[in-house]
Amino acid sequence: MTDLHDHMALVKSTLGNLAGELLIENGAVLAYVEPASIRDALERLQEGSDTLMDVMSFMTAVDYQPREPRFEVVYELFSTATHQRVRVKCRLEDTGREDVLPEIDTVSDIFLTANWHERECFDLMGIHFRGHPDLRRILLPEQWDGHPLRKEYPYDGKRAWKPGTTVVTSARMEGDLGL
Amino acid sequence: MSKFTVEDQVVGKRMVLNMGPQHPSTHGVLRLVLELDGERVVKCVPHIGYLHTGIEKLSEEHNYTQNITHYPRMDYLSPMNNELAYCLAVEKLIGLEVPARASYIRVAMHEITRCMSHLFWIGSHAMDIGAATVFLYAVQEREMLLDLYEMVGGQRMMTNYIRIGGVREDVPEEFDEHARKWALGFPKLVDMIQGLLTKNPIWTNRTQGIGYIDRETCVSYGLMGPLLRAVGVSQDLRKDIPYCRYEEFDFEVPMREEGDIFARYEVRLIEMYEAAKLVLQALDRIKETAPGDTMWESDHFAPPKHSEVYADIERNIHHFKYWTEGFKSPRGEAYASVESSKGELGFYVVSDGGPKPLRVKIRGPSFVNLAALPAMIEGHLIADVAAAIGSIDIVLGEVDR
Amino acid sequence: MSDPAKRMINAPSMDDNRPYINDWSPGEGAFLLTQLDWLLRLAQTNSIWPLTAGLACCAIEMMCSASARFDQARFGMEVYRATPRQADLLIVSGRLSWKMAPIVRELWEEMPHPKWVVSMGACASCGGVFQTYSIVPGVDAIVPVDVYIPGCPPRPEALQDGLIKLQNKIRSGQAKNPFAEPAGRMDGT
Repeated sequence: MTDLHDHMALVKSTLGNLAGELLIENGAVLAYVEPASIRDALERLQEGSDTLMDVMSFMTAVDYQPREPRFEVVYELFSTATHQRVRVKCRLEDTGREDVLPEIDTVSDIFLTANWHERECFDLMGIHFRGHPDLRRILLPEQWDGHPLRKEYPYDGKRAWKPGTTVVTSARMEGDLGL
Repeated sequence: MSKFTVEDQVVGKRMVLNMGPQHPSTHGVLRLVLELDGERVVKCVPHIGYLHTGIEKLSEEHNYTQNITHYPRMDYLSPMNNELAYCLAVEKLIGLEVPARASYIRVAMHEITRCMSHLFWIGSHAMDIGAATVFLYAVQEREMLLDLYEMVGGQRMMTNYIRIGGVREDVPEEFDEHARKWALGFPKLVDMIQGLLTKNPIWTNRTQGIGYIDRETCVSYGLMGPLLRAVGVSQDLRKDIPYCRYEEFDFEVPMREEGDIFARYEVRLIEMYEAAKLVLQALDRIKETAPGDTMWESDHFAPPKHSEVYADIERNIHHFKYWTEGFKSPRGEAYASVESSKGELGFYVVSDGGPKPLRVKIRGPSFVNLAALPAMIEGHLIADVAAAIGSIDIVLGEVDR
Repeated sequence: MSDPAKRMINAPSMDDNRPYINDWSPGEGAFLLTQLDWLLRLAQTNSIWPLTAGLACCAIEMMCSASARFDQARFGMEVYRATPRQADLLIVSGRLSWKMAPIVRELWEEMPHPKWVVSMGACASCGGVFQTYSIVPGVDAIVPVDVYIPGCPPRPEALQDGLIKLQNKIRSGQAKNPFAEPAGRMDGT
């Protein structure tokens, strides 16, 4: 456990003024950061000589409805040099309007793996990533309506596929290439 | 890379080829849209989601023990790895210790699963490149491992054997003898596969120098496992962040510098040798521990022993509540990952204090590794696409979840 | 036949009021051979060529069924063709998602007659373990199915048992009318 407390101190010193709340939970160091400064925070953790977080293990979002702020975007970083992990979390508020999605900056140029993770987050949770080169659905068909991982979406999807809704037969070349 | 235009198609400079979701060498329902200049791949766009099952959403509807049934169907070539990663995450969340015998059984099954996955990998990879014989030998050996699974868990693939707090029940007596016999004979089979492939000029011409990504790009893409070890980074979660008492075991982490398809092939072969050694060590340790001690003792978080359920009214009630409602886990979150045969397989479990998780996020290595496929094959010939996909070793169940 | 590019697939309603297909007769348009019928069906059943259309875990058991221990070649079914034009059996093995459904439908339509469909596993037959928003609850909403094989995944022996049932069905003339529509209401009526 002293190991984790040392690591937490290193993370705190690397993040500097960007660090919000830092805590240790279930064997991991959690760092809360403001959504506006997520890019700076991840860059500092990546380049910091104490932390050297070069791998992003995953990136996801959690829907805490009905708590406000509703979403929490979670980034898990790992260092191949020091074998330490840190979990960076941002609390994101819902916009309150159905057609406008909550927004946060993309980190897909800092960690290349975030490209697909952010697409999945957008697809399943409905969070818009500003500056993402190609933000479109990745796991569900392009014409899908709704974001299934949100809490109000029923797991068996009765809402989405009403009788009479149509799905175009297999994608024709011009429309769905993604090139 | 210029944007593909209709003029290019009309003049005949670039062709768009669709390696559709139904294809013998995409290892499942993966769709690749390739922009070709003659035979050379100029741009590659993978389209996934043809097997999206909504496992993460479904996990929010079932309690912690019921969720274990979903995960072997995710990476269906290494079923017990998924169960193990999930159980480790939930055990971290609750914060109790797994008994030693259960840990050693888990290690044995983990390594057997690794061999199972690598055998199927080498079989299908070689078959895609053209060496169809390897598939038959590898799958025949894999049948022996499926027999071990059936002996231990009752079912050939989706055993649901690894549970939160240990394993479902103790291994039968014949498991030790059969697993030992397999582990002692396994290196000869890997030698035979090596004899068919390693010095084969067709194999080396098809795999050496192809599919190379440099180290920084690999790390930035989040590739872990054999892909990272083939580029010269000595990384193995069993040594870096040990789980399941791996610090007590003695094994090597293979590493290569070249980073091409051949290097990944060599890394996985050495992993197979090491896995057989680990199984023998685990079997020795299982013998040293007391039989029957395979689930932690807990009044709330673990099922009571079967023999006691009808002896005592409290155990009876506990049994009823455990199997109908499930246990209420403490509020919080935890992430645990294992060194799966494909990379880092991790589960991020968030709990709000109820019997069902609030969110389960699955970090599937195949999802992350597949994002690097365009970087691997752009500039190579179309025939190398099948080889590259095989070398990443993807399972679409894990990519799409 | 209308243009496949413009044809729509309507999602059937979630209530199960699909009509039960009880019509085994060959239907109009089929060419009836009398004395050679038996010989034709014998030849068909002993050399069925499946399509490599494995979707998920059941596909692995399908591959194990084709390999050395379980040896589907004894039934004449070891020749898996990659293109639907040369195949006559579509084994839907694994969970079918809504994104993949139009593609399986197109594969089935590209197969020349006579063709048969085996729904392998619980997920293909009824949605199985995964009753979620993205999984088709039963592949018979997309293609007409001749044999359903339960299991998760079914053992290779179970798959072979189902394939023998299919062979018997073909020989007795009860296989699905090739012009049949699937059991679900595909055209939205």
